[in-house]
Amino acid sequence: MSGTVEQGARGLDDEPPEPVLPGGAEASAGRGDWAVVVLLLALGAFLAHGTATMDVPENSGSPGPRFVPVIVTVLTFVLAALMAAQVARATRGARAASEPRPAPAGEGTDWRAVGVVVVSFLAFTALLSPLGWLLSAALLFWGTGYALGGRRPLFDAGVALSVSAAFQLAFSAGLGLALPAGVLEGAF
Amino acid sequence: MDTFSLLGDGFAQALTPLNLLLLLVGAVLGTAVGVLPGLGSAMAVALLLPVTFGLDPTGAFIMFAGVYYGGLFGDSTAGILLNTPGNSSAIAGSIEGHRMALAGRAPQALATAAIGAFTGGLIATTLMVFFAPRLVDWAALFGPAEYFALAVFAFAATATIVADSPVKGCVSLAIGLSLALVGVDPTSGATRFTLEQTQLFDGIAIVVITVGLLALGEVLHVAARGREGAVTAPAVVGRPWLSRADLRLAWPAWLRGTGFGVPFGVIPVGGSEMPTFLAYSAERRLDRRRARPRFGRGAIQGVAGPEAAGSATAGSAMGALLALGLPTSATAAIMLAGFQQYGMQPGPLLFERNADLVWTLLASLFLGIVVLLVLNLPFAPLWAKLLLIPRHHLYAGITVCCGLGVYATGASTFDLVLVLAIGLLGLLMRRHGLPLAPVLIGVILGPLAETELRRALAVSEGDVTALFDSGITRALYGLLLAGLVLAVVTRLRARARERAVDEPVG
Repeated sequence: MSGTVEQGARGLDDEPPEPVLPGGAEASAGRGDWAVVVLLLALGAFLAHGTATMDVPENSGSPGPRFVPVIVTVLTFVLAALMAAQVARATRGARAASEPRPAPAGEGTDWRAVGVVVVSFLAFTALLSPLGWLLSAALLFWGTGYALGGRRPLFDAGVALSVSAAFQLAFSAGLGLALPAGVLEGAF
Repeated sequence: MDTFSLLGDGFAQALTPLNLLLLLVGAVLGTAVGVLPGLGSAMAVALLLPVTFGLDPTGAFIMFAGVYYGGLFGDSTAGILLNTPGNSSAIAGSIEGHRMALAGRAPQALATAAIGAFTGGLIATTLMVFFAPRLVDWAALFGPAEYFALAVFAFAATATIVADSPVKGCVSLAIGLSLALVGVDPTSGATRFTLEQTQLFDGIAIVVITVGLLALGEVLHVAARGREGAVTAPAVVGRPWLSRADLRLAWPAWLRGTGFGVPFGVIPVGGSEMPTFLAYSAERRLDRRRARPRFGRGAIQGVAGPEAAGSATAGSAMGALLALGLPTSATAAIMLAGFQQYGMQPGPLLFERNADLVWTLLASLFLGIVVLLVLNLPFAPLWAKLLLIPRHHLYAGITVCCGLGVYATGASTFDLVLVLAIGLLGLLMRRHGLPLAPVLIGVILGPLAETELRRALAVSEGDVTALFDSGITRALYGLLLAGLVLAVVTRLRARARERAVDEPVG
């Protein structure tokens, strides 16, 4: 929950302590926050479409199943507007002051590393039943480790296999829960 | 006297060798997860939930008690040594605690935190034991309108008062409420926002959301940040003895912190963020009256107060969960999911139907606190050694735990895809400074709020004034309004001061 970190401190004490925390959030909207507006609009559109096309059973009383979704949809669009106003103000402020503002949140993102983690996780999901826990979890471990800067592939592969084997042992032998064995079925 | 005999039975149930072993294992695992940077007690419970599936309910909840407090203790260890608190509840204590560690007083800071958590947890659990039956009586006074008011109170409090930017807090809340809407509507049976996927008919599991937002989101966030932010622990040398001067400063702070913490466990304002910061600023204000203020240089009271408050909140939150069935924090919500796994619904009826289990759980909370004090007072520096594991292995291990935790709860690959999507949402929210706590509160209390709202309006035949018709609802909305006014005033004042500082410069 590092996102909420400094925020609590600020509201409650008049001399804000500045804890140095990982992933600390900017206080109010910045120029990079257009993404949040887009997210809200997409969410609002999805909710509106879902509410409009919902099959309402005959006997559902009043207020029915659409009641709360309508409230949340309206809330989402109102928030999108408020957020857009804040971001626009921040952009204008930055232009007027023409001073170097802190970089928008999107910059400095290592998208390649994020991509490797995502692909590893998807591969894990797809391979879990055919390959079994041992190999697919080892692959997930290795892929994530690689994305985060592990540069000793063979050693890391050994660690990955030991970790996933340890989990399988703890779960199957210790707790009697079955994890998919996959191609190694019967090997033990 | 009745309470004593019931609690005695609870202890008798809890004190079997197997249960003690489970408690110990839970405490060790919970502490280990809590120490890891970015992960706190909510995560510890979510990741270890599947581990308890193979056990009977009593054993499972005893293990939960260990995990729950273990996560809390471990989190403050990481916060003090490395300044990487995993839950928002550990932040306030880390501020002065980390300064103490930098000044070479890490063992004292860790001891103060451990004893503070012990004191707060012990007092809160004791109070709960005696007041839980009374809470159950109060719960009988609550109708649909009152429960709805309580949920609204929780939403507004987490989204606007706790978060810095109210708009961003509300954005997070809206995301949480939307996630909660997915699935079959329990009142009418209509399917909502499921995209025709049968796997979504039951809604999105709370474990999937928690693991995705908190754990996988954190891993992706670390990956996105690249190489920066490697952690180095300051050396921990010496014994955790507190000098008499330390104790004289610490013990009143422990008690004051507990005083802040206990009431906040019962009202749903998103966990122990508020009470820990209230305790922190109270200690700071008291400290300013001294001839030589200690805050800023590692004040022991700055650790003692918040740690006791956090643990006290955790203790009374368990009472609220058991007696009212009301999850007041993310951790409590996941434990609620654990109860539902065994077909039990916390709340007034639990005390009638599963009384023996309730008292065993209360007894094991006491045992959990004691076990954790024993584990943490002498061995806290050892826990910090966990951080010597290379960073990429650490996070790779967390990712594997995420996969395991989600797969083990439902054995569905659909959930794995879902958890990845929610993890990416968590990354986006972290990048844009959207707080995570309101999402969880929205997800947890959203369904409750909807059901109660519709029930209240159905009874009153659409008359909205029915929502404000009782003393309890008026008091809750009044309190909320007062809080909002106070928050706005503080913010305006802070802004005015900022301007006053800015202007002379340019």
